[in-house]
Amino acid sequence: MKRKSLFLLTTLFSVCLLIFACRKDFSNYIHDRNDASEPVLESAKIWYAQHIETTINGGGRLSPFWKESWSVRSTSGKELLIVPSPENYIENETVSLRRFFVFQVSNSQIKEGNIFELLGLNYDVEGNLDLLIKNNDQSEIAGFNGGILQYDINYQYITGAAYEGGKKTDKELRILRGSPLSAARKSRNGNGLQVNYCPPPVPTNIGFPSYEAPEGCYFVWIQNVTYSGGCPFTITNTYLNTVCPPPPGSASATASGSGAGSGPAYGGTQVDCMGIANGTAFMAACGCIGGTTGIPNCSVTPCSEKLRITGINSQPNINGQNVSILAATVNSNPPKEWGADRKLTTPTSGVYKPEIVRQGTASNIFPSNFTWDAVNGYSIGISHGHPAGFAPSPADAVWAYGNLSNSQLVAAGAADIARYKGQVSVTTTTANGTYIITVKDWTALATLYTNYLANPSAKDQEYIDAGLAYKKAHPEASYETSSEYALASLYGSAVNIYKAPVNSSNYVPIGIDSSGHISVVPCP
Amino acid sequence: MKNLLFLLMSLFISLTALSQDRLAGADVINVASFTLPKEATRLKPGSIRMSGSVEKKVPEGCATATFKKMYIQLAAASGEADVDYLEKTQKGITSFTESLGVKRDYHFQTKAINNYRVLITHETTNNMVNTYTFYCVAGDRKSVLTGVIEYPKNGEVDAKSELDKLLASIKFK
Repeated sequence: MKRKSLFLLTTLFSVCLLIFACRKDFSNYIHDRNDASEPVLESAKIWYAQHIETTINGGGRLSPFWKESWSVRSTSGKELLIVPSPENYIENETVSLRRFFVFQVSNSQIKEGNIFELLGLNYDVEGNLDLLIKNNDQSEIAGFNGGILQYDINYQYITGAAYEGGKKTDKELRILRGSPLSAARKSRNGNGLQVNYCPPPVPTNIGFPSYEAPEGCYFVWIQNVTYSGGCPFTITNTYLNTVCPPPPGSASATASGSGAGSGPAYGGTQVDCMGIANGTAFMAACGCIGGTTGIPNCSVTPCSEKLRITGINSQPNINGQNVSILAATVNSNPPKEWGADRKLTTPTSGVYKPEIVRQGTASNIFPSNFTWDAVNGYSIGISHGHPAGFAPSPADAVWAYGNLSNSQLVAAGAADIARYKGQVSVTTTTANGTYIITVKDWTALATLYTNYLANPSAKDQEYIDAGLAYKKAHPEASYETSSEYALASLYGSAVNIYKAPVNSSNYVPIGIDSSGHISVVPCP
Repeated sequence: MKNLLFLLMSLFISLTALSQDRLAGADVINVASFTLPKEATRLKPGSIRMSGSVEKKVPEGCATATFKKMYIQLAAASGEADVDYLEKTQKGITSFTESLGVKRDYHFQTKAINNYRVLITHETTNNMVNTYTFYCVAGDRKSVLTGVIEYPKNGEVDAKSELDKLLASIKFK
């Protein structure tokens, strides 16, 4: 009898264990979903790292929950990777909202990525998730009342399609926060929804409290706009919630002490930028950090930045530029540095302007042409070749700091300076590999820059001495490796250093290990 | 026949290329025997302050000592050194130094001692310290040893004497 009971208990336990282990597979099976394949998921992570704008102030960056992702084919035949993101509490019971990252996949590569908000008005979004996702670009979704709002990967609003009775309307939906009264005033002043020569419509406010939001608090609402002849015709605002800061001394008040404020929140209680009620994450210059993000501060780790660097440098135009620079450099006679500027079309586009590969002025000088304007582009880096094959020099290491005094960048203001800081890099191509430097500590770099500027020759000698000393203590090392040591030992406190094999985009962080050797920084 | 010869030559060149830089750091004692002056003070990794000079870093994995205001350092690697290890070393020093336009006053000398070949560089500077550096390759190219003697400018005679004694005492195993 005892043996039978033990057998039954063991079987029951095993079945429970199996169900628990396979709960995601069962869930996907029930909902007719497919598990996201590893290559697609990796590709999405790289695409995300490549396109995420870490320096948007107050932008409300969301974190994807990669482990909970699945793939699905839309009604229109697109292969989609769906990755959930943090949700917010909604006070208005007639409204339901789910939020996802939606990546469009083609041959295991990511073509496009967006954030979708599925908004139900007297409609069960949760119960119809798959129906809404599969038909997100359809003009008819059976029984759907609400909207599908699209944002870019940085959570910047693109469009919001409204559905009524299952049919797409020509109305536009978006979620706003602040006060609908002030929004209406803005509209009349020409700063809001008003289009040229359009008479401002009087908004209809539904469900709002009879009072203005208390000082320091704000309302969150859905705005539904209809258009006629290209002008806003009606505006309907539907109240969702009131958000107030936490009482002084509470956990989230302390966490938000940076003054940057929290991310998007719809809850009646304080919701942090991860969507966690009373959470401790907060919006800093580099995005949502702290709390459950796992990111303690704005300094990016080499292992996390490696993905972003690999993503950017895998782009054919960027990789091709490096290949051209290297070829021109190693074939130059007498030896000269060749290179090109790295400029974006806008500070946040992530799209690079085509730049001509040009010759430097000496074997160790390639002058950059820094600009920060819409015509000439927004400089976020430089790529150049070292004919002798050595690692980036002291001048390369401090280059990023010198541009902070550029008059165009200074005039562009703090937000653009933050964008520059978040994206700037120096690429050095050599016959032994390609190096990329990014900044990890601007304060430390400021000191190094000042010291370099005071006596560049002394700093170059210091670099050479450090490299030669390494070679003398490590007979097995090449002089190229010794130059890497010189760079890492003298400038590693301020910059991250990455290296990839020649003509490859497989970058790895390098640094000095505990035994004093230059080596690859291990990444999980 | 020509094709076969071409293939064999390609194979030989490839294997030669593959054999480059197959060196790994090794304990000096396991690579060669040598004699330091009895009065020399052995050092541990860290930093020391030499008389009249700035703080000096003593690296890990090296045999280090001080003697008569001189700093002596030996390091080794084993594996397989290139046929032209010494020539490449000399070229590397010059190339690395000149890559940033830094001017250095080096004197190079190559010679054979005991069962090894050595490249000796003598660097004189405007500072208080001059340096002898030597790069030794065993006759079978299975190991290499580098040595440094840093000395005060007025200690040239003692430094040269110690360099000669040390080089004469080195025997690769």
